[in-house]
Amino acid sequence: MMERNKMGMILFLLSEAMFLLLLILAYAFYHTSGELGKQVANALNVVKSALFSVALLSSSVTLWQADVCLKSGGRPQARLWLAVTILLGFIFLVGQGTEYAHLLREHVTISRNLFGTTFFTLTGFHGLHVAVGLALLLILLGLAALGSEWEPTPPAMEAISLYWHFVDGVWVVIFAVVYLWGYV
Amino acid sequence: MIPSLIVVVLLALTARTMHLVNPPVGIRTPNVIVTAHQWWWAYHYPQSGVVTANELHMPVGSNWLLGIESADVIHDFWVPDLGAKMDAIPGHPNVLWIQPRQAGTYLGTCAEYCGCEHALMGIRVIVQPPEEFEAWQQSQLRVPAKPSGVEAERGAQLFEERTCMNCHTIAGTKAKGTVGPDLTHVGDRQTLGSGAILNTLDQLTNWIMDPQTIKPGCNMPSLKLTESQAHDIAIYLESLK
Amino acid sequence: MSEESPANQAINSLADIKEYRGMLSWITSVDHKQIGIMYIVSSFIFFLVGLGLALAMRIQLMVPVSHFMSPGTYNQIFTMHGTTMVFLMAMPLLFGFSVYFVPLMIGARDMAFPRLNALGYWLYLFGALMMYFSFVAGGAPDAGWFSYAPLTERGYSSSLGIDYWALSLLVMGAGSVATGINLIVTVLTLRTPGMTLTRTPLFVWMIFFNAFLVILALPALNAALVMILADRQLNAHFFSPAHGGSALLWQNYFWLFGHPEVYILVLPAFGVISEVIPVFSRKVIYGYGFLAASTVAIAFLSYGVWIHHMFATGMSYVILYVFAGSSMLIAIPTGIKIFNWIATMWGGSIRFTTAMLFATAFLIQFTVGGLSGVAFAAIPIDWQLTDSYFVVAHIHYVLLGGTLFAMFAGIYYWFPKVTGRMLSEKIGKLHFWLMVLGFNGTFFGMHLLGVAGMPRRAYTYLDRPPLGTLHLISSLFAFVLALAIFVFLWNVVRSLRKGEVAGDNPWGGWTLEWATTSPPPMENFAQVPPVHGRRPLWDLAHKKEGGQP
Repeated sequence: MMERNKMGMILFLLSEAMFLLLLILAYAFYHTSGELGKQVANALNVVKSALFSVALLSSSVTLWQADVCLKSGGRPQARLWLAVTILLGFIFLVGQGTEYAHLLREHVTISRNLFGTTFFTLTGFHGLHVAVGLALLLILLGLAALGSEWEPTPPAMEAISLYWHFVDGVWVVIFAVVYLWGYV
Repeated sequence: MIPSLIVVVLLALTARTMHLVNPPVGIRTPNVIVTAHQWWWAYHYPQSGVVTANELHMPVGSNWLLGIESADVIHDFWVPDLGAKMDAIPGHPNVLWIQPRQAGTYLGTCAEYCGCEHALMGIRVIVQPPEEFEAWQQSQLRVPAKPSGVEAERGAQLFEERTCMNCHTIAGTKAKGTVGPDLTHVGDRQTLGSGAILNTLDQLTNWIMDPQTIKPGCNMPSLKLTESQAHDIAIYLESLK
Repeated sequence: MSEESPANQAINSLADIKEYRGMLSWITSVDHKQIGIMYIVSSFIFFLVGLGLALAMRIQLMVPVSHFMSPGTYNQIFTMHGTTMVFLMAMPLLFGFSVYFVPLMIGARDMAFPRLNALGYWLYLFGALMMYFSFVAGGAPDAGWFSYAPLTERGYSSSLGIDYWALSLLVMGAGSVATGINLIVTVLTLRTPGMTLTRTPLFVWMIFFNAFLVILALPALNAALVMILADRQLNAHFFSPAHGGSALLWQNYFWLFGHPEVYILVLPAFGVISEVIPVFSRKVIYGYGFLAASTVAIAFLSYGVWIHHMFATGMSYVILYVFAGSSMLIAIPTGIKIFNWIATMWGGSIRFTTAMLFATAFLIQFTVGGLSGVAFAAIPIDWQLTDSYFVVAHIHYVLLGGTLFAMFAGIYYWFPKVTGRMLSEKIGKLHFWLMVLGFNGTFFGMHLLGVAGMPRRAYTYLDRPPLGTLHLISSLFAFVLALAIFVFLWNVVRSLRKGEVAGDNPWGGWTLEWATTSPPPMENFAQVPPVHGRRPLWDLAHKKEGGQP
């Protein structure tokens, strides 16, 4: 029988998946019924975003690496990989922030048109999930650094890793729907 | 097994009835465009050009196609004895077939909660023999005569001065507002306020003085007129036949 | 079996459990029984509020063109009535029963995540308080419990009512999802050894699948709420047609939540009925497998019928046929359940206790409600009757005549277990008959009102027969229904003070909750009985007489 915290996290991720799916569908619905394609091409910088996406996706790899080290007993290495994960996640958020800043300078706001409405809502909620994930990872790192008494348990590591991989996986879908579809 | 068969039979009957009640439109254009507003109904007959409000006239015996639209929030056009209901959705025009078989007056109502006065957004359909309907259309297209009589003249003057014309249209005058119902032939109508009150001089005077006492929350404000001023305007409006 | 273990012989009322004493122990509790009781008590308080709102509505509608209250007030009242009954009464009542009884029925000591359980309750309570705070913050929400856009856009709803509505639901929804997750993990990981899934009580099965509905349906509502808040507060354009938004998008997202939601409101009731009927028929439930499997079918199908709330919006006929079909199909698994419950009673030695009376009334009334519901699946009928009082009749027959009656059956069945006292059967029967009279008198006529052309959510109506007469009858019977509720409250108060002591198993039930004291001690069981079948206590009793395990 699966461990209860992992099971609980998977169920939570199922419900979050439903929520984010509906935000994606709203974006897709308005994309197909309007002129969103042109707006995407004009407003977004796909190359820059792709770079920041690479950072986020690599952070999944580094987190997995942290997990591997932990299982084979290498705690200091695991902590290092965890720190790198957090850094990469942070880079992603900063990248998103610069993209938002650029859009706002161009007066593409949430209230400007349907592109703004759906783009900011969708990526905003994803970014919020990333931020929460970073907070969770920081807590893990902090606890790990405090010494063996405070060490996070394997179920905690596993559950939070699942969350982080989920958030990264959702970004793959969002990137495809928002950034790549605009060019199709 | 058996329940599934029952479902198939019911589905077949459902589909058949749907087609009888609301067949596909094809290239047919609507005979009348119904535009729902917060708490009144506008009617525009594209073929003849008639524009009116709150009272819908139709000829008996024909298949009529109604265009159902909304100027603000979601409403629903429902006259139970004449046919199905259809939502009026802003940005999403719909159509509805009505096949009136008997002449008479049919009452309906808005059937999608649309705010404060949803309950008093009545529909009145007058189904007439084709000749009578034609005569009605012709009379609707005539510009009403200039007001005669002191009170009516005063009323017309007040109508212009006291902002009524900002919201209402009366053909042949300066009043070209479209926020509220068209009043060109309001004197002909059986009810006022979308069915809220009967169209009598007293009721109309009360309405003009303070519509909020009859339909609280409706979009027509109390205009702070004296009873005599309201009476004059009412006389004027009743003359618009 | 009413053997009481020596250590627990002293427990036969709520006062005997020292952890229940003092406000602080309740506020800080993570015990599933205390949390369950808090959910149930809170839900009843909001039930009384919602009932008050309903009575106010019925007074307004007693006569045509009534000036008892303004339309602005009425519109807030009908919105808060629906929102309260669905989100502040029914859901917490069902969660309360779920978190109280699921651990007991599977022989566990508590839920999988006790602190998450407490969080779920407090999120509900604070969301509920925030919802009612709107009355003093500029006006309660007034766009109906499903708040269609674009009426809910800032331009058409300028008070903060809709914002409070959306935020409160988001808070409460988070609590619901948390509880749903908790219930699933509890059922999967904490069943006592020997209790395979196929030996799990049907109440637990229903709650288990219900929890899946909760965690997958609430997110749809959350997405819609987030979008309307964005529109209202950040000038986004999700639902404003003037900027290219779609009014229908709200309806699609809301009903994607809303349809599973009505099954969320009824599956636990089905679970209660599945427990009560066998015990008071002294017979094994007929068709356990079918009851379980049909629940799975309903859970799946419930996601495939939502368009039936939108048949009059002018969608393409292809979509309409598909959803008419799925809406007709979903009646089948429910029908199977009704047959199974009736078959259980057939040939049983029936005891018409108050609990059994409520369960029997449920069978009849829920069927009536189900028939009026499936009538809407025939689209031309829907085209006439949707958004009329026929719908109001339907929803109250399934939710009040159905779910609430079933929950009263559950209350009369399980009150002894929770409190250690029996509810008075005499007062209970008075409560029951008043409710049957009051409920049917209030709502049956609404079928006719709908057919006569009375639209929903109308604060008044013109004087056209038979509207006035039907409304008057409905309003008068509503007071009978209110009286019934007060009789029930009297029963509760009286029984808590001087009700007959219940003992472990006053009804001769067979599931694990009856294998401990009434009320159960904090750790639930001194020792969980062995489980070799679906009726552990029956097996235990009959093994002593040489029966098969």
